[in-house]
Amino acid sequence: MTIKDRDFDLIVSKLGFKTRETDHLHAWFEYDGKVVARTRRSRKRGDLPMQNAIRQQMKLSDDQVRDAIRCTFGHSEYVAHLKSRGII
Amino acid sequence: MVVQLEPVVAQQRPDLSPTSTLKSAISPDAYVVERSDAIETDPSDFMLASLGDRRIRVKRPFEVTISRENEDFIAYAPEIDEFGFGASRQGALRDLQQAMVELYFSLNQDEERLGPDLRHILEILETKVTPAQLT
Repeated sequence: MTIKDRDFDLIVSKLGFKTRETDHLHAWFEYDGKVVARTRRSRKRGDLPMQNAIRQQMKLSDDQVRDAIRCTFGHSEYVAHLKSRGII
Repeated sequence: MVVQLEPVVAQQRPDLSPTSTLKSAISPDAYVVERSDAIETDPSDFMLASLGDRRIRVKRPFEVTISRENEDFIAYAPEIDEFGFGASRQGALRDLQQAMVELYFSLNQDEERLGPDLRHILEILETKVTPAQLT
């Protein structure tokens, strides 16, 4: 499962990350007033480098990334996942 | 091995605002003064002793791994789970330095509302870096 730039943008949008652009696209997830996850991607087109690190920063498994791209894993599922891991 | 980047002497109190002046505070020279022999001798692992930003002093160096992923060079700091990438080792290292500086300031800015994972990363950063003092 590879993550392309457009996949990243779709995932952060579907999961409800806030974003900010500098040299990179920064994304962070807030829940109940707390910042609980953060990641970023380059402006490079196509497959993103360091996809494992990006997944890890977002606290997602490979399957969850795939499901997020398919739109079967959204904000509520992500919140439930973070709760199950004790992150929120 | 420790890669010591050339220190950047601050002439005035550094602006510690989160990111607005990030670029202006980073000396371009600081990016390229790592000992190339150190990088070439051991291309995979080394210790990074500067973030190339006059607002921040490194107290304890960061472990950094440089690797290749397709056409990209990747610089990864596992202790804080941060990475940089570029078309060259120096480019990847420079990107990592910028990412670490931005991470430090953004986590400090949000210190009161960090979740446990990000708070842990901030705690690690605070053991390793400190705001630069007036010189």
